[in-house]
Amino acid sequence: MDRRQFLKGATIAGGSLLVPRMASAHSERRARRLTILHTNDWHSRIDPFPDDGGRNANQGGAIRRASLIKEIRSVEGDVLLLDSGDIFQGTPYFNFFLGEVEMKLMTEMGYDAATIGNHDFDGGIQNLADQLRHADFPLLSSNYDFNGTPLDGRTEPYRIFERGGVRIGVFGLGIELAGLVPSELYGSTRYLDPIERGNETAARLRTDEGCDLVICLSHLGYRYRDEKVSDVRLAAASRNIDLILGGHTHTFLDQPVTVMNLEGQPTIINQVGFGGLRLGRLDVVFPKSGEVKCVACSNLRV
Amino acid sequence: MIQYLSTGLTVLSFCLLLAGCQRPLGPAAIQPQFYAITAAIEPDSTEGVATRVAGIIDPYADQLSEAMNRVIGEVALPLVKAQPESSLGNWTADLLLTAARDLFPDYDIAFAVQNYGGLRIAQIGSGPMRVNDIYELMPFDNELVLVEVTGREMTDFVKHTLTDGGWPVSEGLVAIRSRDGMDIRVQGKEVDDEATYYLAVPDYVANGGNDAAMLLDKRQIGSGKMIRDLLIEYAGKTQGPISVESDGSRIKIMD
Repeated sequence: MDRRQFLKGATIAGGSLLVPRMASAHSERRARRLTILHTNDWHSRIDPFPDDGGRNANQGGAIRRASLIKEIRSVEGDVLLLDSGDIFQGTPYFNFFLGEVEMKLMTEMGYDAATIGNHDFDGGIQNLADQLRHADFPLLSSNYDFNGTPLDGRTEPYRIFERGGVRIGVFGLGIELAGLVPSELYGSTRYLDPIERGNETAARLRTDEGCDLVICLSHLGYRYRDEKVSDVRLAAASRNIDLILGGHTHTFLDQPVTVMNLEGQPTIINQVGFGGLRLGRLDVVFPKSGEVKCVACSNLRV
Repeated sequence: MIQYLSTGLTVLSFCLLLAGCQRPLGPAAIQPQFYAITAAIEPDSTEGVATRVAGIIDPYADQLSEAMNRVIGEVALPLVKAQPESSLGNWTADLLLTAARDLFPDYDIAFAVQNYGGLRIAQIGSGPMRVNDIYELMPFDNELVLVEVTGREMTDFVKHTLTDGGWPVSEGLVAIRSRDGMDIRVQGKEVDDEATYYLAVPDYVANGGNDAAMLLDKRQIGSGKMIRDLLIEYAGKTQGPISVESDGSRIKIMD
Protein backbone atom coordinates (compact mmCIF):
# COMPACT_ATOMS: atom_id res chain seq x y z
CA MET A 1 0.00 0.00 0.00
CA ASP A 2 1.15 3.47 -0.75
CA ARG A 3 2.45 4.96 2.46
CA ARG A 4 1.05 8.43 2.04
CA GLN A 5 -2.34 7.11 1.04
CA PHE A 6 -2.35 5.07 4.20
CA LEU A 7 -1.69 8.11 6.35
CA LYS A 8 -4.18 10.20 4.43
CA GLY A 9 -6.91 7.73 5.22
CA ALA A 10 -6.09 8.01 8.88
CA THR A 11 -6.24 11.75 9.06
CA ILE A 12 -9.35 13.80 9.43
CA ALA A 13 -7.95 17.13 10.44
CA GLY A 14 -4.87 19.20 10.08
CA GLY A 15 -5.10 20.07 6.43
CA SER A 16 -1.56 19.16 5.65
CA LEU A 17 -0.72 15.52 6.14
CA LEU A 18 2.94 14.94 6.21
CA VAL A 19 5.07 18.00 6.18
CA PRO A 20 7.65 17.14 3.59
CA ARG A 21 11.16 17.17 4.87
CA MET A 22 12.88 20.42 4.00
CA ALA A 23 14.32 19.70 0.62
CA SER A 24 17.91 20.79 0.49
CA ALA A 25 21.04 19.49 -1.11
CA HIS A 26 22.99 20.74 1.85
CA SER A 27 22.03 18.87 4.96
CA GLU A 28 23.62 21.41 7.27
CA ARG A 29 21.25 24.05 5.91
CA ARG A 30 18.21 21.90 6.48
CA ALA A 31 15.83 22.91 9.23
CA ARG A 32 15.90 20.86 12.39
CA ARG A 33 12.58 19.18 12.85
CA LEU A 34 10.85 17.03 15.34
CA THR A 35 7.53 15.18 15.29
CA ILE A 36 5.70 14.96 18.61
CA LEU A 37 3.01 12.29 18.86
CA HIS A 38 0.80 12.19 21.90
CA THR A 39 -2.11 10.46 23.62
CA ASN A 40 -3.98 10.87 26.89
CA ASP A 41 -6.57 8.97 28.95
CA TRP A 42 -6.44 5.82 26.91
CA HIS A 43 -8.00 4.01 29.84
CA SER A 44 -7.03 0.43 29.03
CA ARG A 45 -8.85 0.65 25.68
CA ILE A 46 -6.82 -2.11 24.12
CA ASP A 47 -9.45 -3.42 21.72
CA PRO A 48 -11.53 -1.01 19.62
CA PHE A 49 -14.72 0.23 21.29
CA PRO A 50 -17.49 -2.40 21.22
CA ASP A 51 -19.64 -2.66 18.12
CA ASP A 52 -22.80 -1.40 19.88
CA GLY A 53 -24.02 1.29 17.53
CA GLY A 54 -22.61 3.98 19.80
CA ARG A 55 -20.66 7.06 18.81
CA ASN A 56 -17.28 5.36 19.21
CA ALA A 57 -18.25 1.89 18.00
CA ASN A 58 -15.33 0.04 16.39
CA GLN A 59 -12.98 2.99 16.83
CA GLY A 60 -9.63 3.09 18.55
CA GLY A 61 -7.57 0.00 19.34
CA ALA A 62 -3.94 -0.65 20.13
CA ILE A 63 -3.09 -2.55 16.95
CA ARG A 64 -4.19 0.35 14.77
CA ARG A 65 -2.41 2.89 16.95
CA ALA A 66 0.81 0.88 16.88
CA SER A 67 0.58 0.51 13.09
CA LEU A 68 0.01 4.24 12.63
CA ILE A 69 2.90 5.17 14.91
CA LYS A 70 5.17 2.74 13.11
CA GLU A 71 4.10 4.23 9.80
CA ILE A 72 4.85 7.78 10.94
CA ARG A 73 8.22 6.72 12.32
CA SER A 74 9.15 5.23 8.97
CA VAL A 75 8.61 8.62 7.33
CA GLU A 76 9.78 10.99 10.05
CA GLY A 77 13.23 10.49 11.48
CA ASP A 78 12.85 12.23 14.81
CA VAL A 79 9.77 11.32 16.78
CA LEU A 80 8.89 11.84 20.42
CA LEU A 81 5.93 9.75 21.66
CA LEU A 82 4.30 10.96 24.88
CA ASP A 83 1.28 10.19 27.06
CA SER A 84 -0.49 12.40 29.58
CA GLY A 85 -1.82 9.84 32.02
CA ASP A 86 -4.86 7.67 32.88
CA ILE A 87 -3.30 4.78 31.08
CA PHE A 88 -5.16 2.44 33.43
CA GLN A 89 -8.81 1.60 34.14
CA GLY A 90 -11.82 1.26 31.91
CA THR A 91 -11.88 -2.26 30.49
CA PRO A 92 -11.58 -5.73 32.06
CA TYR A 93 -7.93 -5.86 30.93
CA PHE A 94 -7.16 -3.59 33.84
CA ASN A 95 -9.46 -5.32 36.36
CA PHE A 96 -7.84 -8.67 35.73
CA PHE A 97 -4.25 -7.84 34.72
CA LEU A 98 -3.72 -4.55 36.59
CA GLY A 99 -2.03 -2.57 33.84
CA GLU A 100 0.45 -5.17 32.66
CA VAL A 101 -0.97 -5.27 29.12
CA GLU A 102 -1.07 -1.46 28.82
CA MET A 103 2.56 -1.09 29.90
CA LYS A 104 3.73 -3.83 27.54
CA LEU A 105 1.86 -2.23 24.64
CA MET A 106 3.25 1.25 25.30
CA THR A 107 6.72 -0.24 25.47
CA GLU A 108 6.17 -2.01 22.15
CA MET A 109 4.93 1.26 20.58
CA GLY A 110 8.07 2.98 21.83
CA TYR A 111 6.64 5.59 24.18
CA ASP A 112 9.37 7.95 25.38
CA ALA A 113 7.60 9.15 28.56
CA ALA A 114 4.24 9.44 30.32
CA THR A 115 2.87 11.29 33.29
CA ILE A 116 0.66 9.85 36.03
CA GLY A 117 -3.11 10.23 35.96
CA ASN A 118 -5.43 9.81 38.93
CA HIS A 119 -6.69 6.45 37.63
CA ASP A 120 -3.17 5.13 37.39
CA PHE A 121 -3.46 4.76 41.17
CA ASP A 122 -6.60 2.63 40.89
CA GLY A 123 -4.76 -0.62 41.52
CA GLY A 124 -2.97 1.02 44.44
CA ILE A 125 0.38 2.77 44.47
CA GLN A 126 2.23 -0.51 45.02
CA ASN A 127 0.63 -1.88 41.86
CA LEU A 128 1.70 1.15 39.83
CA ALA A 129 5.25 0.63 41.06
CA ASP A 130 5.03 -3.10 40.25
CA GLN A 131 3.77 -2.49 36.71
CA LEU A 132 6.82 -0.34 35.95
CA ARG A 133 8.71 -3.57 35.41
CA HIS A 134 6.76 -3.91 32.15
CA ALA A 135 7.48 -0.31 31.11
CA ASP A 136 10.57 0.68 29.19
CA PHE A 137 9.76 4.39 29.49
CA PRO A 138 9.80 6.75 32.49
CA LEU A 139 6.85 8.10 34.44
CA LEU A 140 7.42 11.83 34.91
CA SER A 141 6.02 13.86 37.79
CA SER A 142 7.28 17.17 39.15
CA ASN A 143 4.52 17.76 41.68
CA TYR A 144 3.90 14.43 43.41
CA ASP A 145 6.24 13.83 46.32
CA PHE A 146 6.49 10.06 46.59
CA ASN A 147 8.87 10.03 49.56
CA GLY A 148 8.23 6.97 51.69
CA THR A 149 5.83 5.39 49.16
CA PRO A 150 6.45 2.41 46.86
CA LEU A 151 7.05 4.90 44.01
CA ASP A 152 9.88 6.61 45.89
CA GLY A 153 12.79 6.85 43.43
CA ARG A 154 10.77 5.12 40.69
CA THR A 155 9.63 8.24 38.85
CA GLU A 156 11.52 11.23 37.47
CA PRO A 157 10.58 14.93 37.66
CA TYR A 158 11.66 15.46 34.06
CA ARG A 159 13.70 13.96 31.29
CA ILE A 160 15.70 15.58 28.51
CA PHE A 161 15.63 14.14 25.01
CA GLU A 162 17.91 14.94 22.09
CA ARG A 163 16.25 14.48 18.73
CA GLY A 164 17.75 15.69 15.46
CA GLY A 165 19.85 18.32 17.16
CA VAL A 166 16.94 19.63 19.22
CA ARG A 167 17.10 19.50 23.00
CA ILE A 168 13.66 18.84 24.49
CA GLY A 169 12.83 19.01 28.18
CA VAL A 170 9.73 17.04 29.20
CA PHE A 171 8.19 17.15 32.67
CA GLY A 172 4.96 15.93 34.27
CA LEU A 173 2.24 17.50 36.42
CA GLY A 174 -0.54 15.59 38.19
CA ILE A 175 -3.94 16.53 39.58
CA GLU A 176 -4.78 16.93 43.28
CA LEU A 177 -5.63 13.47 44.56
CA ALA A 178 -7.57 14.28 47.74
CA GLY A 179 -11.32 14.14 47.08
CA LEU A 180 -10.68 12.38 43.77
CA VAL A 181 -8.78 9.18 44.56
CA PRO A 182 -9.45 7.10 47.69
CA SER A 183 -6.56 7.94 50.02
CA GLU A 184 -5.60 4.30 50.63
CA LEU A 185 -4.76 4.03 46.93
CA TYR A 186 -2.18 6.83 46.85
CA GLY A 187 -0.90 6.42 50.40
CA SER A 188 1.36 9.17 51.69
CA THR A 189 1.90 10.78 48.27
CA ARG A 190 2.04 14.55 48.72
CA TYR A 191 0.54 16.82 46.10
CA LEU A 192 2.60 19.96 45.48
CA ASP A 193 1.40 23.14 43.79
CA PRO A 194 1.53 22.43 40.05
CA ILE A 195 2.03 26.04 38.99
CA GLU A 196 4.92 26.56 41.40
CA ARG A 197 6.54 23.25 40.60
CA GLY A 198 5.83 23.65 36.88
CA ASN A 199 7.50 27.05 36.66
CA GLU A 200 10.46 25.90 38.72
CA THR A 201 10.97 22.83 36.54
CA ALA A 202 10.46 24.70 33.28
CA ALA A 203 12.96 27.41 34.30
CA ARG A 204 15.48 24.75 35.14
CA LEU A 205 14.95 23.00 31.80
CA ARG A 206 15.14 26.24 29.85
CA THR A 207 17.98 27.98 31.65
CA ASP A 208 20.16 25.40 33.39
CA GLU A 209 19.63 22.60 30.90
CA GLY A 210 19.46 24.81 27.77
CA CYS A 211 16.41 23.10 26.29
CA ASP A 212 15.14 24.37 22.94
CA LEU A 213 11.63 23.18 23.70
CA VAL A 214 9.93 22.66 27.07
CA ILE A 215 6.94 20.30 27.17
CA CYS A 216 4.63 19.75 30.12
CA LEU A 217 2.73 16.45 30.25
CA SER A 218 -0.26 17.44 32.34
CA HIS A 219 -3.08 15.50 33.94
CA LEU A 220 -4.58 18.63 35.48
CA GLY A 221 -7.49 18.89 33.05
CA TYR A 222 -8.07 21.38 30.28
CA ARG A 223 -10.34 23.96 31.92
CA TYR A 224 -12.89 24.27 34.75
CA ARG A 225 -15.72 26.62 35.55
CA ASP A 226 -14.33 27.25 39.01
CA GLU A 227 -10.89 28.24 40.32
CA LYS A 228 -9.43 24.74 40.13
CA VAL A 229 -6.00 24.66 38.53
CA SER A 230 -6.14 23.52 34.90
CA ASP A 231 -4.00 23.61 31.78
CA VAL A 232 -5.46 26.99 30.86
CA ARG A 233 -4.70 28.43 34.31
CA LEU A 234 -1.27 26.87 34.35
CA ALA A 235 -0.47 28.32 30.93
CA ALA A 236 -1.57 31.81 31.98
CA ALA A 237 0.53 31.65 35.16
CA SER A 238 3.57 30.06 33.53
CA ARG A 239 6.93 31.01 32.17
CA ASN A 240 9.11 28.87 29.92
CA ILE A 241 6.49 26.24 29.07
CA ASP A 242 6.12 25.97 25.29
CA LEU A 243 3.66 23.11 25.08
CA ILE A 244 1.17 21.60 27.48
CA LEU A 245 -0.02 18.17 26.40
CA GLY A 246 -2.99 17.61 28.66
CA GLY A 247 -5.46 15.00 29.84
CA HIS A 248 -8.05 14.16 32.51
CA THR A 249 -11.03 16.09 31.10
CA HIS A 250 -11.20 13.88 27.96
CA THR A 251 -11.29 17.05 25.88
CA PHE A 252 -11.25 16.69 22.11
CA LEU A 253 -9.41 19.76 20.84
CA ASP A 254 -9.59 19.88 17.06
CA GLN A 255 -6.90 22.53 17.15
CA PRO A 256 -4.45 23.31 19.92
CA VAL A 257 -5.38 26.32 22.05
CA THR A 258 -2.99 29.19 22.67
CA VAL A 259 -2.91 31.02 26.00
CA MET A 260 -0.66 33.98 26.79
CA ASN A 261 1.70 33.26 29.65
CA LEU A 262 2.96 35.60 32.39
CA GLU A 263 5.41 37.13 29.97
CA GLY A 264 2.78 37.77 27.32
CA GLN A 265 4.04 34.89 25.21
CA PRO A 266 1.83 32.08 23.91
CA THR A 267 1.77 28.65 25.46
CA ILE A 268 0.20 25.98 23.29
CA ILE A 269 -2.23 23.50 24.89
CA ASN A 270 -3.40 20.31 23.25
CA GLN A 271 -5.50 17.30 24.29
CA VAL A 272 -6.81 14.41 22.20
CA GLY A 273 -9.95 13.11 23.91
CA PHE A 274 -9.74 9.67 25.46
CA GLY A 275 -9.84 5.95 24.86
CA GLY A 276 -7.15 5.92 22.18
CA LEU A 277 -9.61 7.44 19.70
CA ARG A 278 -7.04 9.93 18.45
CA LEU A 279 -3.32 10.34 18.09
CA GLY A 280 -2.14 13.94 18.31
CA ARG A 281 0.70 15.16 16.17
CA LEU A 282 2.72 18.38 16.37
CA ASP A 283 5.49 18.95 13.87
CA VAL A 284 8.06 21.34 15.25
CA VAL A 285 10.49 23.01 12.88
CA PHE A 286 13.51 25.01 13.97
CA PRO A 287 14.76 26.72 10.81
CA LYS A 288 18.21 28.22 10.59
CA SER A 289 18.04 31.99 10.84
CA GLY A 290 16.98 33.65 7.64
CA GLU A 291 15.07 30.61 6.41
CA VAL A 292 11.34 30.34 6.02
CA LYS A 293 10.00 29.48 9.44
CA CYS A 294 7.72 26.65 8.48
CA VAL A 295 5.87 25.18 5.59
CA ALA A 296 2.63 27.07 5.92
CA CYS A 297 3.21 29.92 8.27
CA SER A 298 4.86 33.29 8.31
CA ASN A 299 6.27 35.19 11.21
CA LEU A 300 3.81 37.64 12.73
CA ARG A 301 5.71 39.27 15.50
CA VAL A 302 3.41 40.88 18.03
CA MET B 1 9.55 33.37 24.21
CA ILE B 2 6.88 32.23 21.82
CA GLN B 3 5.17 34.04 19.04
CA TYR B 4 1.85 32.97 17.67
CA LEU B 5 1.62 32.78 13.93
CA SER B 6 -1.18 31.91 11.65
CA THR B 7 -1.83 31.99 7.98
CA GLY B 8 -4.63 32.40 5.54
CA LEU B 9 -4.07 28.85 4.41
CA THR B 10 -6.15 25.93 5.59
CA VAL B 11 -3.39 24.79 7.87
CA LEU B 12 -3.33 26.68 11.12
CA SER B 13 0.19 26.94 12.31
CA PHE B 14 1.74 27.94 15.55
CA CYS B 15 5.20 29.33 15.75
CA LEU B 16 7.51 29.40 18.65
CA LEU B 17 10.06 32.14 18.67
CA LEU B 18 12.70 30.95 21.00
CA ALA B 19 14.87 34.00 21.29
CA GLY B 20 17.54 34.97 23.75
CA CYS B 21 21.25 34.40 23.72
CA GLN B 22 21.15 31.13 25.68
CA ARG B 23 19.05 29.51 22.97
CA PRO B 24 21.06 27.45 20.57
CA LEU B 25 18.33 27.34 17.93
CA GLY B 26 16.32 29.93 16.09
CA PRO B 27 12.54 30.47 16.07
CA ALA B 28 10.46 27.34 15.83
CA ALA B 29 7.14 26.71 14.17
CA ILE B 30 4.60 24.15 15.22
CA GLN B 31 2.16 22.57 12.83
CA PRO B 32 -0.66 20.61 14.48
CA GLN B 33 -2.84 17.80 13.27
CA PHE B 34 -4.47 14.70 14.65
CA TYR B 35 -5.31 11.24 13.43
CA ALA B 36 -8.57 9.49 14.17
CA ILE B 37 -7.88 5.88 15.03
CA THR B 38 -10.40 4.03 12.88
CA ALA B 39 -10.72 0.99 10.69
CA ALA B 40 -9.21 3.11 7.91
CA ILE B 41 -5.86 2.31 9.47
CA GLU B 42 -4.88 -1.05 8.15
CA PRO B 43 -2.73 -3.15 10.45
CA ASP B 44 0.83 -2.84 9.29
CA SER B 45 1.43 -6.54 8.93
CA THR B 46 4.31 -6.21 6.53
CA GLU B 47 6.51 -4.68 9.21
CA GLY B 48 5.28 -7.09 11.82
CA VAL B 49 3.90 -4.48 14.24
CA ALA B 50 0.35 -5.72 14.13
CA THR B 51 1.49 -9.27 14.68
CA ARG B 52 3.68 -8.30 17.62
CA VAL B 53 0.96 -6.21 19.24
CA ALA B 54 -1.63 -8.94 18.73
CA GLY B 55 0.87 -11.37 20.20
CA ILE B 56 1.00 -9.26 23.37
CA ILE B 57 -2.78 -8.90 23.64
CA ASP B 58 -4.03 -12.35 22.67
CA PRO B 59 -2.95 -14.39 25.72
CA TYR B 60 -4.76 -11.92 27.98
CA ALA B 61 -7.80 -11.61 25.72
CA ASP B 62 -8.16 -15.38 25.61
CA GLN B 63 -8.36 -15.53 29.39
CA LEU B 64 -11.13 -12.92 29.46
CA SER B 65 -13.31 -13.73 26.51
CA GLU B 66 -15.56 -16.44 27.93
CA ALA B 67 -16.48 -14.64 31.15
CA MET B 68 -16.75 -11.22 29.54
CA ASN B 69 -18.90 -12.29 26.61
CA ARG B 70 -21.54 -13.90 28.79
CA VAL B 71 -24.92 -12.38 27.93
CA ILE B 72 -26.87 -11.16 30.96
CA GLY B 73 -29.77 -9.37 29.33
CA GLU B 74 -31.26 -7.78 26.28
CA VAL B 75 -31.31 -4.02 25.81
CA ALA B 76 -34.38 -2.85 23.89
CA LEU B 77 -33.71 0.90 24.03
CA PRO B 78 -30.11 2.17 24.21
CA LEU B 79 -29.15 3.17 27.75
CA VAL B 80 -27.61 6.60 27.35
CA LYS B 81 -25.60 8.60 29.87
CA ALA B 82 -26.47 12.28 30.22
CA GLN B 83 -27.01 15.04 32.75
CA PRO B 84 -28.98 16.02 34.72
CA GLU B 85 -30.86 12.71 34.31
CA SER B 86 -30.61 9.84 31.85
CA SER B 87 -31.77 6.35 31.03
CA LEU B 88 -28.38 4.83 31.89
CA GLY B 89 -28.23 6.76 35.16
CA ASN B 90 -31.79 5.85 36.17
CA TRP B 91 -31.28 2.20 35.28
CA THR B 92 -28.06 1.98 37.30
CA ALA B 93 -29.40 3.81 40.35
CA ASP B 94 -32.66 1.83 40.39
CA LEU B 95 -30.73 -1.46 40.29
CA LEU B 96 -28.58 -0.24 43.17
CA LEU B 97 -31.69 0.65 45.17
CA THR B 98 -33.21 -2.78 44.53
CA ALA B 99 -29.97 -4.48 45.52
CA ALA B 100 -29.62 -2.31 48.64
CA ARG B 101 -33.17 -3.15 49.77
CA ASP B 102 -32.32 -6.85 49.47
CA LEU B 103 -28.99 -6.43 51.25
CA PHE B 104 -30.27 -4.20 54.06
CA PRO B 105 -33.80 -5.41 54.85
CA ASP B 106 -33.72 -3.75 58.28
CA TYR B 107 -33.18 -0.24 56.97
CA ASP B 108 -35.61 2.16 55.37
CA ILE B 109 -33.53 3.33 52.42
CA ALA B 110 -34.43 6.76 51.06
CA PHE B 111 -32.85 6.41 47.62
CA ALA B 112 -29.66 5.34 45.81
CA VAL B 113 -27.12 7.67 44.19
CA GLN B 114 -24.29 6.96 41.79
CA ASN B 115 -21.75 9.68 41.01
CA TYR B 116 -22.01 10.75 37.38
CA GLY B 117 -18.27 10.52 36.78
CA GLY B 118 -18.36 6.95 38.08
CA LEU B 119 -20.29 5.78 35.03
CA ARG B 120 -17.52 5.31 32.52
CA ILE B 121 -19.23 4.75 29.19
CA ALA B 122 -21.51 6.99 27.17
CA GLN B 123 -24.07 4.30 26.45
CA ILE B 124 -24.97 0.64 26.33
CA GLY B 125 -26.42 0.07 22.89
CA SER B 126 -29.45 -2.05 22.04
CA GLY B 127 -28.90 -5.77 21.68
CA PRO B 128 -27.38 -8.27 24.06
CA MET B 129 -25.95 -6.87 27.29
CA ARG B 130 -22.75 -8.66 28.21
CA VAL B 131 -20.68 -8.83 31.38
CA ASN B 132 -18.09 -6.78 29.51
CA ASP B 133 -20.55 -3.87 29.24
CA ILE B 134 -20.89 -3.71 33.01
CA TYR B 135 -17.13 -3.83 33.51
CA GLU B 136 -16.80 -0.89 31.17
CA LEU B 137 -19.72 0.93 32.79
CA MET B 138 -18.40 0.37 36.30
CA PRO B 139 -14.72 -0.61 36.23
CA PHE B 140 -14.09 0.50 39.80
CA ASP B 141 -13.97 -1.85 42.74
CA ASN B 142 -16.47 0.21 44.69
CA GLU B 143 -18.56 -1.36 47.43
CA LEU B 144 -22.24 -0.54 47.84
CA VAL B 145 -22.75 0.97 51.29
CA LEU B 146 -25.45 2.71 53.25
CA VAL B 147 -24.55 6.08 54.66
CA GLU B 148 -26.52 7.50 57.58
CA VAL B 149 -27.21 11.23 57.41
CA THR B 150 -29.53 13.83 58.85
CA GLY B 151 -32.03 15.52 56.60
CA ARG B 152 -29.87 18.62 56.63
CA GLU B 153 -26.78 16.69 55.55
CA MET B 154 -28.77 14.89 52.87
CA THR B 155 -29.90 18.25 51.48
CA ASP B 156 -26.28 19.44 51.32
CA PHE B 157 -25.33 16.29 49.48
CA VAL B 158 -28.18 16.54 46.97
CA LYS B 159 -27.27 20.19 46.36
CA HIS B 160 -23.70 19.11 45.64
CA THR B 161 -24.86 16.54 43.07
CA LEU B 162 -26.89 19.22 41.27
CA THR B 163 -23.99 21.68 41.37
CA ASP B 164 -22.01 18.97 39.60
CA GLY B 165 -24.67 18.89 36.86
CA GLY B 166 -26.93 16.18 38.29
CA TRP B 167 -25.95 12.68 39.37
CA PRO B 168 -27.86 9.48 38.66
CA VAL B 169 -30.48 8.90 41.38
CA SER B 170 -33.03 6.19 41.91
CA GLU B 171 -36.75 6.49 42.33
CA GLY B 172 -37.54 7.99 45.71
CA LEU B 173 -35.75 11.30 45.14
CA VAL B 174 -37.08 14.32 43.29
CA ALA B 175 -34.81 17.38 43.34
CA ILE B 176 -35.69 20.56 41.49
CA ARG B 177 -33.47 23.60 41.50
CA SER B 178 -34.88 26.85 40.20
CA ARG B 179 -34.34 30.53 40.78
CA ASP B 180 -36.53 30.18 43.84
CA GLY B 181 -34.13 27.62 45.36
CA MET B 182 -34.11 23.88 45.90
CA ASP B 183 -37.15 21.69 46.30
CA ILE B 184 -36.32 18.18 47.48
CA ARG B 185 -38.86 15.39 47.98
CA VAL B 186 -37.96 12.01 49.39
CA GLN B 187 -40.59 9.33 48.90
CA GLY B 188 -42.90 12.21 48.05
CA LYS B 189 -42.33 14.02 51.36
CA GLU B 190 -40.48 17.16 52.36
CA VAL B 191 -37.12 16.65 54.03
CA ASP B 192 -37.11 16.71 57.84
CA ASP B 193 -33.79 18.39 58.72
CA GLU B 194 -33.46 16.51 62.01
CA ALA B 195 -34.59 13.07 60.86
CA THR B 196 -32.22 10.21 59.98
CA TYR B 197 -32.00 8.99 56.40
CA TYR B 198 -30.14 6.08 54.80
CA LEU B 199 -28.71 6.54 51.32
CA ALA B 200 -27.32 3.71 49.18
CA VAL B 201 -24.11 4.94 47.55
CA PRO B 202 -20.72 3.70 46.34
CA ASP B 203 -18.17 3.70 49.18
CA TYR B 204 -16.13 6.05 46.99
CA VAL B 205 -18.82 8.69 47.42
CA ALA B 206 -19.48 7.85 51.09
CA ASN B 207 -15.76 8.40 51.72
CA GLY B 208 -15.97 11.92 50.32
CA GLY B 209 -15.00 11.10 46.74
CA ASN B 210 -16.05 13.35 43.86
CA ASP B 211 -15.94 16.18 46.41
CA ALA B 212 -18.77 14.76 48.51
CA ALA B 213 -16.98 16.01 51.63
CA MET B 214 -20.31 16.37 53.49
CA LEU B 215 -20.52 12.57 53.73
CA LEU B 216 -17.06 12.14 55.26
CA ASP B 217 -17.09 10.47 58.67
CA LYS B 218 -20.81 9.72 58.56
CA ARG B 219 -21.80 6.29 59.77
CA GLN B 220 -21.52 3.68 57.02
CA ILE B 221 -22.99 0.21 56.83
CA GLY B 222 -21.02 -1.95 54.42
CA SER B 223 -22.55 -4.61 52.19
CA GLY B 224 -19.34 -6.42 51.27
CA LYS B 225 -20.62 -6.41 47.68
CA MET B 226 -19.08 -4.62 44.78
CA ILE B 227 -21.36 -2.39 42.75
CA ARG B 228 -20.20 -3.97 39.52
CA ASP B 229 -21.06 -7.46 40.74
CA LEU B 230 -24.47 -6.28 41.93
CA LEU B 231 -25.20 -4.66 38.57
CA ILE B 232 -24.29 -7.89 36.77
CA GLU B 233 -26.43 -9.93 39.18
CA TYR B 234 -29.47 -7.64 39.13
CA ALA B 235 -29.30 -6.96 35.39
CA GLY B 236 -29.37 -10.74 34.99
CA LYS B 237 -32.54 -10.94 37.10
CA THR B 238 -34.42 -8.42 34.95
CA GLN B 239 -37.51 -9.94 33.37
CA GLY B 240 -37.75 -9.19 29.67
CA PRO B 241 -35.85 -6.66 27.58
CA ILE B 242 -34.40 -3.61 29.33
CA SER B 243 -36.39 -0.60 28.24
CA VAL B 244 -35.75 2.49 30.33
CA GLU B 245 -36.80 5.99 29.40
CA SER B 246 -35.78 9.02 31.40
CA ASP B 247 -38.56 11.60 31.63
CA GLY B 248 -36.60 14.17 33.65
CA SER B 249 -38.91 13.85 36.64
CA ARG B 250 -36.14 13.05 39.16
CA ILE B 251 -33.61 15.84 38.70
CA LYS B 252 -34.45 19.23 37.24
CA ILE B 253 -32.08 22.17 36.97
CA MET B 254 -34.09 25.19 35.88
CA ASP B 255 -31.98 28.17 36.91
